Parts: sequence; C-alpha cells; structure tokens
Amino acid sequence: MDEVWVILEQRAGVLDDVSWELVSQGRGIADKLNQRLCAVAIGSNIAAVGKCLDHSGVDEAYLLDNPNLDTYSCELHTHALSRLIQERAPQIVLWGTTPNGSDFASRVAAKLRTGLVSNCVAFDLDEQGLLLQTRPSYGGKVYSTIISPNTKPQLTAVRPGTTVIRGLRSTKKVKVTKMSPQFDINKFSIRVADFIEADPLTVSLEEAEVIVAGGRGVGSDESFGLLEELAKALGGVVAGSRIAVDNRWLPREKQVGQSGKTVKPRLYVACGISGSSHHILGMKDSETIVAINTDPDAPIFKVADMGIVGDLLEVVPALTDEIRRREEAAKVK
Amino acid sequence: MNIVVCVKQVVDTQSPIKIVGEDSINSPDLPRVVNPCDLVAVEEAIQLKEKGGVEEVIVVSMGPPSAEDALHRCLAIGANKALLLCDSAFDDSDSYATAIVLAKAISSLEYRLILCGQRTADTGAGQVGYYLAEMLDIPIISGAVKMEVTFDSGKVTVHRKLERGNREILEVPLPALVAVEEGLNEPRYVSRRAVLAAKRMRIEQRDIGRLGLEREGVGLMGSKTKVISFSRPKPKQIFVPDSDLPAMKRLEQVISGGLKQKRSNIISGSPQEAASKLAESLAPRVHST
Repeated sequence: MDEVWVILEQRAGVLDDVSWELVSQGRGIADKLNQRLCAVAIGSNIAAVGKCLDHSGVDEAYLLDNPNLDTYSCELHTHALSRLIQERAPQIVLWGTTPNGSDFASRVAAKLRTGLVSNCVAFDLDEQGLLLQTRPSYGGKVYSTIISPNTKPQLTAVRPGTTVIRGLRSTKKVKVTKMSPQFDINKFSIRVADFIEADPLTVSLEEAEVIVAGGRGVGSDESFGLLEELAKALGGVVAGSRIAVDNRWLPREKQVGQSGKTVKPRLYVACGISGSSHHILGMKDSETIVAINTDPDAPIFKVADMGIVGDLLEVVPALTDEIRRREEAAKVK
Repeated sequence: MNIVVCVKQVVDTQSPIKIVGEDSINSPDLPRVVNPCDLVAVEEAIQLKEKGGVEEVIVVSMGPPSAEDALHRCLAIGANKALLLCDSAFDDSDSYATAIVLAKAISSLEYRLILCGQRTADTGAGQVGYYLAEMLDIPIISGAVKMEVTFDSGKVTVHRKLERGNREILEVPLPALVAVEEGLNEPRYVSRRAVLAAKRMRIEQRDIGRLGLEREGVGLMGSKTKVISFSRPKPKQIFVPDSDLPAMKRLEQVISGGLKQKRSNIISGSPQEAASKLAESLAPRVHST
C-alpha cells in the first residue's frame, strides 16, 4: 500500500515529544511521495491518542490495543507490529531513536529480515523515490547517506530533537482504525521482571535530560531539598556549582563546570548560581537554560534563555507546584 | 558451558578521519582498536569465567587479516579461543550480511550465552546482535548496564538502560544473546607480558568456503543497506574574541568557550506569577490544534 508509517511513543495515552517529531517528518516524506501518512500507536486503552491526532496531518491512525501492551514489551510489540507490516505492506516505517524505539525498530528489522537505518538526522528522496537517509558515524565526525535498495518496507529511525515540529497541517480529522492483536503469552521468552525509576539524586549527570543545579544562593543543605523536589517534578536530577560541592551540600560527582562535569541536558535550571565563567563552560551547550537569581546583573542571565529575578526559596517551590498542577490537569483531560 | 563474544575491529574515532572521493574514508591510514563496547563484552565474559561455571570464552570476529590484532587483545584479556572470519567476499557487508557470516560460524560452536557490544564506534548501527539472534533463533536483550547469569537454572537477568536514568529488569532463559553498554564494567588493564604471550596464540581463520556460504549472500550483494556517500557535518564555528575588549574580558570569553550572549527573556512578577509563566513556556511542545 502507498503509505508512510510512523510508530508513536506514548505514556498513558499522552504522546511523547518524539511522536510529534515523527509526525512532522513523516508528513514531509509522505507529501513528497504523494502517499498517505499513517500513525501506529501501541498500548492499552489508547483511544485518546486517536483524538489528539485530529488535524495533525495524519491520515489514518492504527491503534493496537491490548492490556499486555501497556508498557513496551519488546517481544509482544515486535510480534504485533511485524504482523501488521506484513499485512498492509507500507512503503516506509519511521521510529524515533529512543532506547525503546531503537530496540523496537531493530527487532522488527530482524524479524522481517530487512534493512534499518537508525539515528537519522536528515532525509531526502532520490529519482526513484528511494529514501536517502543521513546519519552521523565515526563519532559524529562524518555523516553517511544510506539507502535501503530492494527491500520493502524501508525501515528508518529518526534521532530525537532534530526535527522541527510543525503545527496545524490539515483540516482533516484522522481516520481511526482500532485493532486488538492477540497472542499466546507463553510463546515468548523474555520476562519484564521490574522497572526501576531513576532516583534524582543518584542518576549520573551524563544521562539526565533535565538538570536542576544550585549554587551559593541555595544557602544550605536543607534548601537543596527544594531543588530535589523540582528535579523530581521535571523528571531530572540535582547538580551544583563548585561552591555547593565545597560546602558538602552535594557529592563531588554532581559538580558542573570546569573542574567538574560538562553537561548538555535538554533543560538546565540554574538556581542561585551567579554564573562564573568556570561554571558556564560546563553547561553552556544545554538546549534551554533557565536562571533563577536575586541579582539582576548576575552573568548567568547572559547565557540564560529565560530568567526570573527573585529568591529561589520562593520561586522554586512555586515552580514545583505549578508543574505538578499542570501535570495533574493533563492527566484529568 | 561456553560464552561466545562477537567483536569488531574499528578505526579509532579519535583519529583524524578524512573523506576520500565521495563514498569512502581514509580508513587504511588510521589506527585500529577493539570496538570499546565489545571490549566491555569480553571483560564481562572473562569475569563470568572467573566466577566459575564457564568453560571457555570464544571470541569471534569478521574482518580483514589485520583484525587479528583485535583478537590477540581479547586473548590477552583472558579469552580461550579466537576465530577470525576473513575473506575478501565479506568486504562492504552491512549489519545484515555481517550477521549472516557470524551466524554461520557460531552455529557450529557450543554455547549458552552470546555477548556483543551495543553498537560499534564506526558506523554506530547497533544492529548485528538483533539479526544474529534472529538467525540463530535465540532471544536478545539489549542495553545491558548490569547483568547476572545463573547457570544452574539457565537464566540471565539484565538491567536495561532506558531514558533519564530509568532501568528495566528483564529475565530470559539461556541460550540468549545480550548486547552490553559501555559502563557495564571497566575493562581491565592488560600487562605487556600478557599481550606478548597472546601474540603467540593461534587464531583460527575461516574463509567463505570453510564456512559454506555463497558469495551472493554476503558482502555488498548480501547487504540490505548501502552507503552511497559521506559528507561533513557543518563545521563548528571557531570563537574569536572581540579585539576591542580589554584583555581580561577576552580571556574570560575564551575560558568560557566563546559564549554568544543569548537574548534572555526575564520573567517578572510575584514568585507565583513568574513560576506560572515559566512553567507555561517549559510545557512540553504540545501539538496545538
């Protein structure tokens, strides 16, 4: 069938950012090929996903619904999607290169004995309409452009954070097709024994997507508890400047800066950090930087995308509450 | 029981990599190392052997004759046997074609556990393990940052790396394949003496005929994907400090890596109002309808 598929990632019916990136990327490719864009969501009770895809540019949504598919379960997901791909034969299938997305894509590629190009940062089409997939290799020193000739469908995975999410694309409502794949659980050998949620105090800074950092302005060991709460609400970890570490508010491996670690999270919240050049060197490449400081002239504001001039002891708890409130509101909806 | 470890010799990505023509890189001139993730896999196998219950650790690699160096390195760490799958027909194999060759060789070995690195440092595809497991018809678990093998009950338990430091614990009966992440262990230091001793150990070589494979099934012909060109990413802009500034300021700029001042958006209002406005702009980029 002349379809481009994107494999969405969702939690409790709410789509992850990467899913919107996939929709944007998929729409672009489908338009060039003059094909339909179909989105596949896999989970349990995911009817809400269908609704939020209205007007998104997706032509049809396939919802694979089964209580066993609630969280990513590698073998079951692979089984369900491989069957659907074999049945409907799409031209191109896109995943996001997240830990689960790349595992999923690789498993489907193996099951279908076809090629896969993962971690792509750019796409184009050649004269025959074959997908030109560009991805970094050799430690990012060169980009290689790869084709998957003679194999259908062409499986590919997009590196998250490289696609601009476009807004309203269509006035059309999405056509929703619900399916409930069935399987014999005993036929699968991998058992998900447990899930360990990251503890904001122990996760390594290199792995964190969100870092809440504190400096001299935090003032005490106890006040770091406020930062910890904010980190929890944002799904991130706590870090600090050298002062925070020297004062033993934090262990040495949580230090950001020239004599500590260099970090590149998606979001960096600097609380009570004035922003000496030594600290800034360690965090300047963060995607978004937010600064909270009492001194409006603090150098940290020069590198921040957003700033609040105020006492962090008041602002941080207010921010934590606000984020929690929004999360609750999103859940109810 | 035996453990098989798949390793690849890769060019050291720290070295200067140049694009030659359009579709190749200057790999013959570059220093080569054992793929870092694969070294972690070898280390894990040796540690399991040291704990007991493992008879032999067999390392298998597909590559050019020079890949013997990589295998000698693994022998120096403590592997018992090394197998090099070497034939010019294997050149330009992608992950799929590589897995065909490895699967053919491994299927003639006795094993209960196969280990490999999560990804290679050169192409970074990270797919060979998945194809290999499928071809050998055994389960695979990827992204291992911690693992435990119980040989009596024939089971492996793996902590799999997820986003934001989260972990998932998976269990699977043996035989199985586990792809390991760097950080699972710290590969040991190998003494010069062990390296020299390993150099004298024989590496078994198998070519396409010995393996009983067809030319059409391997190399570029057996591949599912094909690299058609290499290009350079956009060069990083080198920072030059503004010469009008006093020396101290220029030094400061250089130390902080040449920052460009951002147009920061200062949010005003009471702590509650400011927090609310900030939360609004931080809200996940939700699709607006």
